[in-house]
Amino acid sequence: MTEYALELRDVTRVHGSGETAVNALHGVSLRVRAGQLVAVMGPSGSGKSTLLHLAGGLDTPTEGVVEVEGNRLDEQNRAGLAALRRRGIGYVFQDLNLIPALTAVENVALPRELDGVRVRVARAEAMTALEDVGVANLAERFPDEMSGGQQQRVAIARALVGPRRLLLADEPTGALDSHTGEAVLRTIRARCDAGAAGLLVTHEARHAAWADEIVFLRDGRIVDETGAMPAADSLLGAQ
Amino acid sequence: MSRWTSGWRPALRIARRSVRRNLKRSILIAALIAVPIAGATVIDGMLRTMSGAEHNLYQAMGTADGLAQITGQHALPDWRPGMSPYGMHDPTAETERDPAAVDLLGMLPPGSRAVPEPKFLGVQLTEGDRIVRTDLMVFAVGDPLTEHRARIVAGRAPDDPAEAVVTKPLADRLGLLTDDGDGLRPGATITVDDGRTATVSGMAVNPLQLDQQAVLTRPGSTMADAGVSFPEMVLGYYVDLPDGVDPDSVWPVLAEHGVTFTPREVHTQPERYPALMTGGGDFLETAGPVALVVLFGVLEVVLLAGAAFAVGARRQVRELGLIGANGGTSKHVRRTVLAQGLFLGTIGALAGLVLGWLVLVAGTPLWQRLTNELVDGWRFGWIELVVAAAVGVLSGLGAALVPAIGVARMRPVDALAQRFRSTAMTARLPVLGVVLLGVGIGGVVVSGLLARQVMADYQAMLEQEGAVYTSPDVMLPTVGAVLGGLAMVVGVIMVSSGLLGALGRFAARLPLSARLAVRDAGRHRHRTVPAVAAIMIVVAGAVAMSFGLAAGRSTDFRSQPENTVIVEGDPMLSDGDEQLATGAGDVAAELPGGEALEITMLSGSTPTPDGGPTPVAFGSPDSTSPRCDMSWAQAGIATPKLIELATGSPPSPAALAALDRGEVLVLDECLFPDDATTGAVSTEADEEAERVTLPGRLLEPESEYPYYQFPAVFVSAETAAEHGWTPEVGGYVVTHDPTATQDDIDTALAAAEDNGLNGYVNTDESAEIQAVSLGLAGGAGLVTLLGVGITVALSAAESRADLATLAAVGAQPRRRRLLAGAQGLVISGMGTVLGLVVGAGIGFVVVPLSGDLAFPVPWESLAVTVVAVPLLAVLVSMLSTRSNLPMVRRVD
Repeated sequence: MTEYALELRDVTRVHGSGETAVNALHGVSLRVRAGQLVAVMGPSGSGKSTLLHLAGGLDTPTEGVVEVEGNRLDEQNRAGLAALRRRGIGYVFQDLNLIPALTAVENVALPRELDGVRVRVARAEAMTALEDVGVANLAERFPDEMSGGQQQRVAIARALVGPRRLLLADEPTGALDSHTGEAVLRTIRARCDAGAAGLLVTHEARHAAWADEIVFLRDGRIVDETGAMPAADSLLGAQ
Repeated sequence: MSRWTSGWRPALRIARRSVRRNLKRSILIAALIAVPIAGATVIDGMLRTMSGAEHNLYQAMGTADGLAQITGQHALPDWRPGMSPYGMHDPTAETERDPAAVDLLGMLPPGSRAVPEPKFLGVQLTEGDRIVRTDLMVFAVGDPLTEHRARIVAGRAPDDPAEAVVTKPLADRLGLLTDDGDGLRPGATITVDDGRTATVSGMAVNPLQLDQQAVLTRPGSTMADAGVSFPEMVLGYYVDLPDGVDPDSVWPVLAEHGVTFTPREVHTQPERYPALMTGGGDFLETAGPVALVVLFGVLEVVLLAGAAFAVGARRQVRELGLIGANGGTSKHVRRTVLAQGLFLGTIGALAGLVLGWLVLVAGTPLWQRLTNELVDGWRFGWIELVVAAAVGVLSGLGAALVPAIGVARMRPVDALAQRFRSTAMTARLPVLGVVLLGVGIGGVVVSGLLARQVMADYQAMLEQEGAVYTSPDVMLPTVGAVLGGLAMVVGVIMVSSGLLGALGRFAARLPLSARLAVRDAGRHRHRTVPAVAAIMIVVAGAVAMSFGLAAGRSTDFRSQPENTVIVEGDPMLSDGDEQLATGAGDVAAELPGGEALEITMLSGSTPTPDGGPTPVAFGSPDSTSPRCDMSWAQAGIATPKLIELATGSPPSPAALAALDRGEVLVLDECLFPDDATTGAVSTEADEEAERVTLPGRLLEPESEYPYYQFPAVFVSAETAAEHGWTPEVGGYVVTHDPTATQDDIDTALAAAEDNGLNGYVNTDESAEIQAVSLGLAGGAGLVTLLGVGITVALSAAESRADLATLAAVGAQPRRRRLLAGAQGLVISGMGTVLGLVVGAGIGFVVVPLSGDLAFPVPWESLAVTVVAVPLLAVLVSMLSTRSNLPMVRRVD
């Protein structure tokens, strides 16, 4: 059993070919341990979202290796990747995270139901996940009956329901006001403190401050890696 | 089990809620599926109720346990239920007994009841100066066993010999109804032309023929023998057996005594009676075209609903991407879209069944009027309805199939970003389409040429005497046409995607609205292609059928010349020449420029076995040409005016001279193979007939075939007298000015009726065919409007952001309408043109197959289809679009 929940080794991703080829990522290596939250920062077009897609098996690298909990993604077929996403990886996007036709608890239970878990069991697990992020009272509401922050918390609950231990968040606070955004990040931090591994893409330093480690990307390359920044609460207190 | 349902459960849940969230689109799709199911339900209900086994049983014997028919034979040892009583012996042989003298009740089990079947006669009633000819039915009026023949709706059944009942339509005609039209005037009477009178005790309707005009009376009543009828060879009785008697124990006993007994079970359980002669016909011949129509009908629904599904799937693509991001496989994504098809298909199918049922039940009075039958309750074939509903559900699934496959193929990352990429398959599709189209066109052309050759050979063979052919072998060209047509349809659907792209590239020079419409159609092929395909299929069908109908038009038979009314008497009821002459004069008086001309036919001196006149018929008994086989035509006395009417031009001096020389004038070349024709004095020109061969002269009739209400052979009065043939008034032809209106003609026909005569006018079949052709074009137009409407509405929904941008840059409100009109023109125009190509291709085979080698083009219906339909689509698109441009936030 590897000690890393996520490991990228010399990963390169080229979009297109010939004259229109774009190097979205170039030789990127990154590791995330259980209980660790890593933030990825960088300007627009630096390759942040591509990195996240590769980490979750939504996209495949042109070169290099991606491993999730010791499983090489390039050795998985489409069904294997889908199974890994059901059981190992959870996503939180910037907005429109939830399926409008499903209630909060059904959205959270979705990966478990897709995995063949009985409805009652899946709902129970989903309720636990909703309780963990503090929105169990919204379980029967549809997405359009919730605020943006509430929707993101439900998305986090879904990202970590059942056996999932790797949380990939792509600008999860992008569509939220600062107060709600901080609450969402506090939730992510708490889930990582409880043992989950997290990879957070953001372009705001105050959000990256919640991470244990920050990776800076520019033009598809890692240009800097730093350790933990001062505690976010203390940064907020300083404002 | 859990594994299997785990994939479908969330999909169905999402489907159910998505349907509610997109209510308008869902209603549209469900309605597209529901309408054909409703149609199928209505047709099923009509067929089951009006012509199913239950209906046939009711028609044959009402509520009786069986129908006994007494024959003239003492025994029928070989008879079995299901056989006709008429076919058991030589009908020309002398009967062994009088059926009326047989004691039926004595043969039936004790406690049985038997009521005679109605005896049908004709009778002439007088009402003031009018003569009203009508039916007379003699039977046990009011008996429960005859309620399928008449149901009393006012008053009571006759219980006195001087009483009778009339049907409601006859009461109306005789003015016997009360002012409200529901009751019978008190003290109403009817009078027969021989002076006998009966009191009308009640009013009835025939549940199986609501418009029947008849006098109903009991056997032995004053009226019972007032009519004229043929002698009955077989007497029928409705039999009510005592409880517990097995009908299968009855028929063998009765058959031993020369009586047939057909139990109810012959209709309800036909499998029990292997002797039953079923008139199933050629199942494949009927089912083949029906299956083809159903197939294309389902394809229409799939395409039109598919366009709506495609838009839905696109709008939902990010949600579907989320399913992929959360571990859903392609299968899960596919199921999520398919579940919506399943859900909407089920709703549409159920709604269609309910709608069809409602249409039947709520419209019962209308259906009764249309079918001329009373509906006691609607019957349905549940198996057919379950199949129809299943087809509806499958239509929903079929409509969702292509969008489901397309979305499921997308990578989750593309779905999340709502990026639509062309796959290698979609890029190759137009190429494959061109190949299929080429194969289809080739197949159709070859089939058309083959059909032309087969029919030309067949017609040439018919001309050869001595050759006998049953029918031309058209299997190969027919199969070639069907396969070629299918290949063309599929090829065009595949090609249309590429065509739309190509159109987009040439759009740069077009005005703004047209440019936007063409580019929109090209960019959103997922919704444009199904709509274009749906229009193309229905236009192709209409065009092909128009060609077929145009081909049939040149082989029409016409009954009589234009602007004429033929007046004839009923041979059983007419009072003779005086009545005919008076009636024809009355008819002529009602018409502008009306002039009555006597048609004089010829009869021989020997009477027929039933005492009637023997017609003089001419034919060509030695001809071996199949086309002219059995051609015998009755001869009439020649007058210049009649010859002019029959041929369209006055007789030439040579023709008149030929008549004077004792020759006959012949209008059908089949009667005239060797410059001479043979006249036979016979009822059916049989072998025993006395024959005479006369020299003749062939005249060219005005129509392709001689008018069948006219003599086809003319003889001078002197020649007729020379051969001892007697002139008989066959009827009158009343000529009138072309200015006569339909009202004039209707009044003239009523005048014939009032004189107890029949009036006939030429049935203009070409007008009917033209109406059918235009109806087809109208049907194609309706589907075109539907397809255009759906696509323009979907486009408006999908392009709200683009419309908002147009508004933001200062576009005038009318721009949206212009855009909608241009979109309508692009879709309907392309679908129509492609449909015309495919339809004309299929028509190229259909026309020769219908025996017409001239390939007539139905310009009128083609013009309506190709020009009027797209223009109407443009107009409707523009008028149904709101002119204001939406100012909305761009949400992407």
